Amino acid sequence: MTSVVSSEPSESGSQTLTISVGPQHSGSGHMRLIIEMDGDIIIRASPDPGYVHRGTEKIYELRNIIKNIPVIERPAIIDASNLNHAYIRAVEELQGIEAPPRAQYLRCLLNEMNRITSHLYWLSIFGVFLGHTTMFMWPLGDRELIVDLQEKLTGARITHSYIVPGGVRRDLPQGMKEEAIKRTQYLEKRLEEYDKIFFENPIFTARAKGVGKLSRDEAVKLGAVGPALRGSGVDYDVRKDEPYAAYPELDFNVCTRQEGDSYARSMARIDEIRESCKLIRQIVQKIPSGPFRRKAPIVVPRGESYSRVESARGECSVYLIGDGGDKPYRLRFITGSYRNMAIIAPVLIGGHMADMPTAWWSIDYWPVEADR
Amino acid sequence: MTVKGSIKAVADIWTAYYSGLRHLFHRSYTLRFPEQRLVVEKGYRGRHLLHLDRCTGCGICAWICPEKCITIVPRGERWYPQYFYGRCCFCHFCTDYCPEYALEETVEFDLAEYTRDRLVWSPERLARPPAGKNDKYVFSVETPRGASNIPRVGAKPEK
Repeated sequence: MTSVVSSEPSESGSQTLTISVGPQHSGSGHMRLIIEMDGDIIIRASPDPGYVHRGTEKIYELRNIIKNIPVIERPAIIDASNLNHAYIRAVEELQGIEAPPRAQYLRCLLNEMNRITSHLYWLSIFGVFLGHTTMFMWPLGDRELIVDLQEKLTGARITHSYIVPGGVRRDLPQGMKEEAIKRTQYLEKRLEEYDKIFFENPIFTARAKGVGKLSRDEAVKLGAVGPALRGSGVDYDVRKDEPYAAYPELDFNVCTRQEGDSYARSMARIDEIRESCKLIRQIVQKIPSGPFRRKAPIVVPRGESYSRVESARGECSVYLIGDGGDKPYRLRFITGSYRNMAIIAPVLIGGHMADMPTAWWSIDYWPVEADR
Repeated sequence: MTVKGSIKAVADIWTAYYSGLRHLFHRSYTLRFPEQRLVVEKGYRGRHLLHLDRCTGCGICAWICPEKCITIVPRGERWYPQYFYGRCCFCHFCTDYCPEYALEETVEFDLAEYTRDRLVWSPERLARPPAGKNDKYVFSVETPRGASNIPRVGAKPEK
């Protein structure tokens, strides 16, 4: 997992050790963390991203707006539809069209399912890096229930390419409503079991509570987003603060925790899964009838547009410039993990090296999404 | 440790045991592939089915394909799409954009091959209807290798 980079005396005369965590993925994700330690205490931490940079922003300029959809989803395939939604909203704003109400509901439905699958995937990784193999198996198994629902709705398990300019590609299938209600209720019951076996587990609470503290002021100052910000007590959620699609008509809470430690950030995500389950049930019950797709041209009119959505890892924003052709002139794409890169160092510094996995994985930093 | 704490610790241990024992009777999430196979519902975006009688060879599928995996190839006087599944990302925009409804999604998803050229699907191969659900396992659709020694029901050997 680690390799020693250097071992030299620090300014105070004490011997410090600089080690490199990563970039081979075994605890760091596909990135490198350069950590300087004094004894067991981390005194300096600097992330070294870029190992999975694929230059997607340039690729977007070379393909037309429909061909861009599968590429837009690739940075975070477990949270594909949220990224896609941000992009499509920017395109629609430039084209001056709006999707029909039924499509807006269907978009929200897939977004919430993606949020659940993304958080469950995070939970399984978080569990396994804390040495809790049960918490690796259970969330990945239960994630299948929602992935199957996504498959039923879109035809694909992860990269859906479901949201297109003018609406969505498929209507709600037969029997989806009952299935969605049944499965989300089951998932909520399972979350109670997760609490018993993991979140109330004294070993886990001892390792997570008070570890990786990030104060409210610091989180705001560094521009943290998503559950990492809400774990520090800031109730900022794009779905509430700048409602889009069908979210203004839906009733849900923004899940915040005040403590700002690893435990709070984890619990903010678990609360979000519960809220998403409620949202899915609301959507399938409230969904209006009507068309689900409207004709949209394959053209990006001249102009600029900016859109943002709440993805599973925080605010995802797209800034699009069109020059009248079928390809974007420029597409700036900022994801939640990219913004959360700023909080990696403050969360790790001052803690023990043994607490590094807890603090690090509680941020849910996804290197592929950040490097793009 | 207090008496209350001890009781809670014992209770917690039994919670873990109970939970573990209960999962002995839990349905397994995984399948023993290839003996057991995932049954996907209609509407799944698997490999394409080409209707040769409807296709006009207009090339819209090749134009919209994000991965450029479709080539339009001549067959006598007509032109048909040919797929390279090594690149296909199964977005099925080709199916969506086909003006003649000549393309269709099928539930066939295991398209693994040993060689790269076997991943190129000619229009004739694409026109074959997918294997039924009750078919015995073959490694791929018509590969004469490996586990495909088990004959597939209704399969014709390729000339």
